[in-house]
Parts: sequence; structure tokens; C-alpha cells
Amino acid sequence: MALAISHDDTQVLLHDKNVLEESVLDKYRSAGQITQTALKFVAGLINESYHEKSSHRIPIHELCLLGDSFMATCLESFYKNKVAERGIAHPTSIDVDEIASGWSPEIDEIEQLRASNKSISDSASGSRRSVDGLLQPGDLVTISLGVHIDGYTSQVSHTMVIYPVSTDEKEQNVPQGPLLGSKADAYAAAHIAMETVVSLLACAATPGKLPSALSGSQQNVTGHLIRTVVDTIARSYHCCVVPGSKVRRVRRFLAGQNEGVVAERGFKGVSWSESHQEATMLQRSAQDTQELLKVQPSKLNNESAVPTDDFTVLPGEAYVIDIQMAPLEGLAPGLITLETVDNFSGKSHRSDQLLAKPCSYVRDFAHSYVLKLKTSRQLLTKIDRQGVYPVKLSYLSDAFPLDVTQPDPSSMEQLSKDLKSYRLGISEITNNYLAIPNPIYVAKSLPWDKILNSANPSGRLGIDANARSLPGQELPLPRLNISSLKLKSLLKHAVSVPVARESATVIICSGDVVSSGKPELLRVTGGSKTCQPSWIHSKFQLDPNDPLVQGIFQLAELAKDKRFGIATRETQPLKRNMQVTPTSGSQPTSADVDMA
Amino acid sequence: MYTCNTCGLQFGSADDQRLHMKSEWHRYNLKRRVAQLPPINEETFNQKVKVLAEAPEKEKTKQTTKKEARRREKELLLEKKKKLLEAARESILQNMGKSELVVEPEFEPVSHPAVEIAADAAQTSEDVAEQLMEQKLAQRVEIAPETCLFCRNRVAKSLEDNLDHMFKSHGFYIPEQKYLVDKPGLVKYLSEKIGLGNICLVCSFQGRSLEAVRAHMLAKNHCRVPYESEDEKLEISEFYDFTSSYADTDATDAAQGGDGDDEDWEDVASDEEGGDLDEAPPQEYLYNDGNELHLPTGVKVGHRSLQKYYRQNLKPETVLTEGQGTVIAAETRHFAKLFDRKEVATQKRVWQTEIKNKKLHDKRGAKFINQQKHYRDQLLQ
Amino acid sequence: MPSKNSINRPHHTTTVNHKIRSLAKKRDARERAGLLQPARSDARSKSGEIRSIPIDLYKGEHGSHGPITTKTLSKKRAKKIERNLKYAEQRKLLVDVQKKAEDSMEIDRVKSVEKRAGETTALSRVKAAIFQVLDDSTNTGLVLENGNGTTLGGPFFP
Repeated sequence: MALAISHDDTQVLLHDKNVLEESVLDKYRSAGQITQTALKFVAGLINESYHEKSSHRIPIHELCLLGDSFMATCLESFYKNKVAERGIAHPTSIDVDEIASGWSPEIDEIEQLRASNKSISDSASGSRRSVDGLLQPGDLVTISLGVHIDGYTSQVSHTMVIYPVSTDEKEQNVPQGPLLGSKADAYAAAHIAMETVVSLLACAATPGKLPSALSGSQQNVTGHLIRTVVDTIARSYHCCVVPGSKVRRVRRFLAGQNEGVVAERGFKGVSWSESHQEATMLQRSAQDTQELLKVQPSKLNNESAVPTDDFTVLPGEAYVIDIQMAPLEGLAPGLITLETVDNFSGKSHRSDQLLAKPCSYVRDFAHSYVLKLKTSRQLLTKIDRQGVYPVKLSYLSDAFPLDVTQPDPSSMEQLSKDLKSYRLGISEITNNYLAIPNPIYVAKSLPWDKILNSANPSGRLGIDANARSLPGQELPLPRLNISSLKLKSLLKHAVSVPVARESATVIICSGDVVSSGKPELLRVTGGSKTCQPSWIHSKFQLDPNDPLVQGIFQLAELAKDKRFGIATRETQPLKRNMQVTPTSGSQPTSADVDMA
Repeated sequence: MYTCNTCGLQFGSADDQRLHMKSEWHRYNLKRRVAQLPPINEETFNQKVKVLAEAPEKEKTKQTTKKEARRREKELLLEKKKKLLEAARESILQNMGKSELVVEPEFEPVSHPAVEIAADAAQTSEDVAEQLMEQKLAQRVEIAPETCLFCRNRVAKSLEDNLDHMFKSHGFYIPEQKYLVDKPGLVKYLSEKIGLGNICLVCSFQGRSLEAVRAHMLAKNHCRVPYESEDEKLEISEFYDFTSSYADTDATDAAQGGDGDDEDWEDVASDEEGGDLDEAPPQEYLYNDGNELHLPTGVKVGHRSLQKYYRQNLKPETVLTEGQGTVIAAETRHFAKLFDRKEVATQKRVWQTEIKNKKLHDKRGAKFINQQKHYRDQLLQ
Repeated sequence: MPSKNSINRPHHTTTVNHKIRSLAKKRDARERAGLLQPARSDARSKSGEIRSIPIDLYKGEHGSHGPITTKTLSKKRAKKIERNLKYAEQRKLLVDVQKKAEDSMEIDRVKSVEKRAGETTALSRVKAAIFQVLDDSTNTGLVLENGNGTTLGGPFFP
């Protein structure tokens, strides 16, 4: 729309509406409850189909649709006439193995997918599963979803493992054994990193309790500290933090859903990208590389939109923690990067190439264009009514929130029909950048020597406009002068790596908004009820001799201590039948970190 | 009940009402109503008349002083002449003695008409008018309602047939027939104008006889009832009743415990002070406000000079939801190069000076542009 | 003031002075903005040397002035430059060796491994540093030999 918002309105929208009050906390809590319930629902469905052997196996696209319908149905009973906007903030996506994010297919795309991906090799196991739709034992499955009420978003992402099932003495279905290997390393790293960061942020509510081993001179939680802690954990488990992971502050309507599209002013958060891996490599070298580490900031971006690590975590803020870990075991030393999956089949003849179209779209209000087709104009008004969060075409149909208890084939048919007509409109909208598709990312490891032996002398000038990167991070490898287009062309030498992902929303509450009066951390999503770790065993562990690791252990102890430690509160999922008014069960529990 | 709503009176009989309607007071009240003033009662009116009667006399005397003065001079002159004549006659009589008494009577009748004429000349215009009036009355022809006003000797079967004939052949149309109350009365009035007064209906032609005025009206095609100006409307207004066309304020009147009168304009006028009437928009009237025509029903009709604007189909202004507003407010991408006023102004200045310098250069060079240092042979032979 | 086309006015000097001043002002502005090349006598000047935009880009000396540019370095050119620099180095070395061989009386000259001419550019230094990390085999993970590893979860479906 290319509009400008007046200064006073900007103040209200960006600052006043984000002040943490009872009403705001209530909205977050309700959104969190719905998200937790939805996650439990989807995880329950996966357990039922793949672990219980009772019903037929539900394919991935149906799982996504059921998850979305469940969230939409749940939302309808909350804040019915009190709030102008509420809806799904993150479409249910089920990412298997090496698919890092964005896999939320529509139900009518399956034939197309299978047709174009007939010969996909087993080395790309995640792609294979996604195309087939059915999961196999040994898969690392990530469920991501999110909901918002009046712009206050709660998102969650949880990885679970599919096991081959056996029955034990009590005639119950149990997993045959723990997951081993590199996937287990990644899983452990992700889980432990998540718990540690949660405890760290909880310390921000009461900075005095921060262990001295971690904080050093200053007694507050900074971005540098968060990055160091997560990097240490990743290194201990021989993993790498996948670019795209972040620990960032979220606000009303600005929860990272349009990260590469809108250069958000006042970005506050730690964001991992390829340049950090480059910097780590340089730091590990014995040579003197201090001045080589500096990167020239680009003149194109507004300074407040460029993420830096120099921020302090303050109480009264809501954070989204999104950690993705990729194991490095058994691979040549390489750069972990994300490859965008698209629909063009002629670009290579690789056997592990996945061809798919992204299915969720984010509206970009900065572009204004008069659409020529009537269907696309109608579609655009429908999309605008949905709100500023990612939209899937199935949400716009009348048949949309399907009845999850009784699947109705007629409504599925209605949905398919609606989708066909919407696809025509969405292509014009996408071609004119009115809506940007949320890309499907596959994690790949690109060997370093391939990168170092390539020349890209004008790399520091090359920027890929289609890549969704944060404002200051347009160049993936600024010190090596490699642009993202060059990196894309080098990906033909890359190997897929599985990804374990954990994501949650937390709020750091100061004393005055909490009923008990003590400052605490509210885990809006995640926690022990819904994000319990699956059975894995990793051969790596945290080295107790490292002072930083000792600080991490102290943090874990603090988290367990109910009296003097850091207070955390989790949001409980709702009871199964939602017609009853939702129990606002929030009991204070402590985050559990199981460490050998 | 017979009422006059203009003056706020009630009459026992229709005749009283008709009598009142013919009076000057009623006429004046009508005029007041047009000017949106409240009506006045009889005493006030008579007082006004008195006041104005003195004033006009004074005015008239002021206005016509010169005339009167001249007239008086003339009269004096005439009187002098008369005296001289009489004196001369006496002297002649005395001189002539009684022998020429026969001659004198010749003079007398001669002088009598002279005296009479002089006497006539000395009369005021009122007497002339009276004389004319008598003449007219004497010549008067009663035109019956069935007789055509314009044709000679054409009698129709009834008033309606007559009117039909007049409409078809002469184009005689009675305006505002919806509000016409007294059709025979109106026709009678018009026939009086023609038959008694011998005045053309449309213009101020005064005929000497009925035939004269009829011939005039037919020749000039003045066979219509004029209804354009206020005066013309007022002239025949007594045969009409426009109360049903007034905008109703029945509701408010009912609320105020009205009498159930349909004539709401009166109540409105009496309830509200004069100031309110000035403020209230002229709902009953058709007026042109420069760009639009406001109809009494409240509809505004646009003028064709603004046609292109009425035909525009602009996109309706989008109302942003809070989410959209927040996302737009948090945007830091700038797509268009922001218009830097000073930069553009300096650039323009630079271009202008460039052109100016070029022109100056040409102008200075023009002095010696044709000067050749060396001889150039055009033909090089 | 007599007009521009008048005879008695000192046209020449005033005009020339005006021109000098305006030119000087413009020159100073350019100098302040850094748009002027250094003087011939200056150490940084490139007068007499080969003027080549691709070589400047390759060396990284061409200051980027914003998002767009028309000064490019094609891959072919980059490869050629790299090759030619190598040959230039070799030639210099060859000259040295020849000179030494000529002047000195040594019969058996031990060829010493020449240290590569210092990596001047930041890019090459970065590449060297990362290669060093890759070649360094001692830099492995923190696998604790006697550690039990980490176990999460248990024999149940969460």
C-alpha cells in the first residue's frame, strides 16, 4: 500500500500496545493454550498412526490440514467478539529430516508432487518421506505451528522421533530402542540448548541470579551471552547451528512471520547465519585474524533493522527461541546452509533434488499493484481479511475448518475445488510481489574447500533479492566475498544433513504483572507437558571442565530450585473436549534439563 | 368552517370569506407570507395604511411638487385669462350695450366650452379616471363563463367545453390546476379584466373596447394567463389554495399538541421565533446553489460542468486493520527515492544557468560572428 | 557599472580571475569529496602505471560507492589476472635467480623453498586462515573418551 503511518500511531502500535499488562498476558496465555493443545493433538495423531498401529497411517498433508482445522476451531471459542483479529500465525508444518522449515502442503498437491519427484533417491530421506507423505521409523519429525490473538503470537516447534514399535511386558507399545547416531546428537543439542536459553532468559527477570561463570563482568543477559552459550552446546555435541535459528524479541503482529520481507525496525535478537560459521572458522585458526573478522556494514539498511548482538534482555518482553541443529559427524568439514526448494525441474539432474511449490504466503503491504484478473482481486481481498500472518490457500475456503472429529469427504472435495480456483489468482499476486511465498528450506552441508576454491570477486556487491534474509545479512560469507547467488550455484556439491528443531515463545514478566508478585518467566509454549524429548542417546556430552559448561550446569540447578532459583511457569494445554470453557491451568513448574 | 389561513381568520359563511379575500388587508397578508413574515391583524394594517397614506401624499407632493407647481401656475394663468376674458366681456358688454346681446350668447357657448375645457383641464387625474371608469362601465360587456374570452360570438356548451376550446385554439392554459379552488371565479375575473377593463391579460395594453382588446390579444397571441413573476401569481392567488404543498411539520406539531391542523407552516412560524426561520434551510424551495440544484425533496442535482467528476470511479479508501498498520509502521524499506527539494532545485538552477550562459555567449558572439579575418573565395576559382 | 560589452571595462582580468576562482572552488570541493586522484609526485599516485579497472577490482582497491556499479570483473578476466600475477612473480624470481647465478660463483645452489609472497589481500588471508583450520587435524570435537554420552527421554512415547 506504500502508506505511511503517523508518528503518534506508530508510537501506540509499536510501543504502547506491547507493554505487558494483565490483558496482554491473558491473550498470550490463551494463544499459548491453544498452541499447546494443537501440538499435543498433532503429536497424538502421529503417535496414533505410526506408533499405535491402530488406525491407518495419516499422511503428512492430512496432518497439516487437521492441525490447521483444529487450531481454527479452537480459536473460534476464544475472545469471540472482544478482539478484532485472531487466527493462525504459523501454518502447521511437518518437516522431516533434512527439510528445515516450510513443509505444509495442500491436500490437492500430492499427485503433482509424486509425479514430479518420481525418482528421488533415499539419500534424501526427508524429501522422500515428504513426497510419499508417510513417515518411517528413524525419521526426525518437526511439528511447527502457531496461533495469535489480537496480534499476540505464540509459536511452537517440536521435534519427535518415529520408532519401530515393540510391546513390552505390560502389553504396551514402546519404542524398540533409543535413537542413535548423528540425528541423536542434533536432537540432544537442540533440546539442551532450548532449555538452557529458557533458563537464561528467566535469569533476565532477576539478573542477580545469573551464574557468574556465564555473565562475567556485567550482570545482565546479552545477545553475546546467548550466542556463546548456544554455540558451546552445539560444539559439544559436534553440531552446527543451522542458519535461520534465532532468539529474538517479538511484539504484537511482529513475530518474525515476515522476517526477510519487511525490514522490521527495532529488531532485537540473536540471529545465526553463514557468516557466523565463517567467523568461527577464522577464530579457530592459529593465525592472527582479528582485523579479518570485521565486516563492513552495508549502507543500504536502516540501522535499527540490522540485528546485532549488543542488546540486553529486559523484563516485560516476549521472546521467540528457535534453535535448529545439524550434526557434523561423519561429514567433511563444511558450511551448513539452507537450500530453497522450488518447482523448476530442469536446473539439475541430481537424484536427491526435491521439486515442490511453497504453500503458505505472506502479504507484503509495501507493494501496490492493480491486479488484472478478477479472481486474483477477489483472492487478494480475502487474503487481506486474514491478517498479516502467513496464509495458506485452504484457509480462504468456506469449507475450511474441517471437523476434526468426523472427517467429511464432501468438505474435502469442496476444499479441493476452491483451491483450484485460488491457484489461478495466487500466481498473479505472487508474480507482482503482493504476497511472498514462505520458502521450503533444505539443510545442506557444503564442503569448505569447494567454497574456498571458487572465486567471486564481486561477491560483496551481489545481493539476492528473492532470498529472505535479515537486513544486514544479505551476504552469506562477507569475508570470503561470496554472494548468495554464488553459494546457490555451489550447492550442487553439497550433501543434505538432518535438522532437529525446537522453538517456543516465552515472556519475561516483571513482578507487577504476575499474581505472585515475583518476577518470573512464562513459557507460553513448550515445556514438559507437550515438548518432552523422545528417547535418544548421543555419544557426546557437555565437558564439565569448561567454565561455560559449568555455568550452564549451575543454571540448570537454579532452574530446578523452586525456592531460591529462577521461577518459570508453563502454559498447560486444554483438556480434550473444547466445548467446556478452557481451564486456564498454569502451574508453576520448573524446566527440566536431563543431563547425564 | 370557512377560514383564511393567511390572516388567521374564521368566517361563518363563504360570502364573508370571499369578501375578505378581496380586501386589501388580505392581499397585504399574502405578500407578507411570501416574504416569510407573520401575518398582521386588521388594526395594525389600517394603522400601516394610515402611516403610509400620509407618507405617500408627502412623497407624492414631494415628487410631484414641480408638476403641481407647474399645474398651479397653469391654473393661475388660466384663472388670470379667465378674469381677463370676463373683464373683456364685461367691457365689451358695456361698450356694445344691449344691441349685441345676440352675439354674446354665441360667445357664451363658445366660451362655455372653452371654460368647460379649461375647467376640464383644471380637473385632476382622478376625475379623468372617474370619467373613464364611467365610460367603461357604460360600455361593459358581461362575458358569460361559456363564452370564449377571445373569439367573437362563440358560446360553448359549458365552462369546461369553453376552457377546452380556449386551450386547443388559443393556447389558454390555467396554471396550477391542482391547487385551483375557484375555477369559475378565476374565469369570471379574467372575463372582467377583458370585458370591463378591456386590458390585455399579458401586457398592459389598454383597449378602448372589448373588440379592440380581443383583436390585440389574438394578434399578439397573448391568450394566456401570465404566471411568471410574483405579482402575476399574486394577482390570481385568491383562487388557489397552496397549503397542501407546504413541507409538513405535522410530526412536530403533533408532538407539541397541535390542533390537528394540516397547515403546519403557520404553527412553525408561530412556534419558532423569526430567527429560526432564517437559519432553517429553505426546504420547500427549489434553489440553485452555484454547483447543484437543491430540490424540495432534498435531492441535489449536479451540474453538467462537473460531469467528469461525477463519472469518476475512484478506489475506496482502504481502512487498515491494526495488524496491517503495525507491519507498515515497522517497515524501514524505502522503495522510492525521496524527493529532495534542495537537490532538485539546485539541479534546475544549474540547467538554467547553463542555458543562459549559452545564450549570452551567442549574443556576445553575434557582434563579430560575420567578421572574417581572411578572404574566402566562395567559388575558389 | 559598465555593461559586459563595453570597451573601458577591464574584461580580461576580471573574467579570468572569476574563472580561476570558480574552478578552484570546484576543485577544492572535489578534493574534499575525494574524487581527485592524488598528485603525480604523491606516493599513492598511479601515474605512469597501467590503468586497469579489473585489476583494481581484483586487488580490492576499487572503493564501492553504493549498491550499483558499472565496473565489473568477469570470471575470465579474474582467471587471467591470477595467472598473470603468478607469471609475473615467476619472472621476478627467475630474474633474481639468473642474476644470482650470473654473479655468484656457487656451483651447487640449494634451492630454498621460497615463502609465498605475503598474502596482501584480506581475501587471501581469510582463505589461508580457513585452509589452515581445515588442514589442522588436531582440531577435532570435544568427544570425551570416558564419557557416558547423553540420554534423553525414555522407553515410552512422550
